[in-house]
Amino acid sequence: MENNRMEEAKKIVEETEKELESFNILEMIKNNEIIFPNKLFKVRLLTLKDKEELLIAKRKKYMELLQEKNDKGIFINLTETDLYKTYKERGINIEELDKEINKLQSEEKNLLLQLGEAIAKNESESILKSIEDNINELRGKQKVILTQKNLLLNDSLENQIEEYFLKYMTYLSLEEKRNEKWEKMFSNFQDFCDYGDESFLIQAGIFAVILNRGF
Amino acid sequence: MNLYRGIRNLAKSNSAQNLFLAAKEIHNIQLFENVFNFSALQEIYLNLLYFYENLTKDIVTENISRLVLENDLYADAYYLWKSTRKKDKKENIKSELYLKTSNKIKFLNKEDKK
Repeated sequence: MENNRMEEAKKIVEETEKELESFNILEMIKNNEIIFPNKLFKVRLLTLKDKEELLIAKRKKYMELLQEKNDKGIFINLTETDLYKTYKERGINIEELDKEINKLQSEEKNLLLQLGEAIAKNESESILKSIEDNINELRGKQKVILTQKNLLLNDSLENQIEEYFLKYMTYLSLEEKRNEKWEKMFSNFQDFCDYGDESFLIQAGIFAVILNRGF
Repeated sequence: MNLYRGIRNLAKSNSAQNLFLAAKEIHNIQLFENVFNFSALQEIYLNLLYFYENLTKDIVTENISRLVLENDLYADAYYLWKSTRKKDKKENIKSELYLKTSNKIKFLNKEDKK
């Protein structure tokens, strides 16, 4: 069930990326807003007031998640540090994954420097290509390990906060055209969460992240 | 992300580079509609404009391969190597500059000055 949802979300992200290619990038950069192809909705850059509201909401949620307990009085939400310990007790060592990632990153940096020097010395294209292939291979390996790590830490307190933060940011950024005027699409966060069209919200979320946070 | 590649291509295009150059020299020419409160996207675009301006200069002055304009990885690698080399050079200069103590330095008190 969870896998199906992930697959569905992945598909929407891929489709949105394809769609974004056809957007006029210059317009997007110039105006600080991304208008949906149907011209009825847009995502805009947050104002200072919005950012303040976002931070307050994030803090409130953080305290709520931090203190949440089950019927037996045990904290429900585990931090990343807690999860590292819990997984270790079950024989899964995330620290080892971290070490592996650091090692690959440092190897990648060395190869990048090697490639940079080769370019500066005007080395042949075949030499450049061979270093490039090695870099891409290392990046592929890193991607696999990072995915493993992210899956293990998916439900951490930190990730839950991040997810909430992005949702709230999208809620604040979304506007709808009504009678030729741009107005906030949802009057409150609960309406945003209850909205039926999940693919629309994911797409809006991607736009909001690009505009407000970059890549 | 493909959009990022699109922004890089835009930043290295002749029209964007010419506009960037003009905006730096002529006060009335603006790159964006807003003059403050820049979005993350705009900051990335500005960085890329500077990045490709420097890269184009290096193609002419340092005679490096034009492949850096065609391959993003080559461009990033060259820039990383260049900035690391610059940092190393700075540190070398710093370590060469130190004060040599010798008997030629005299510390004067008030009476000596008179």
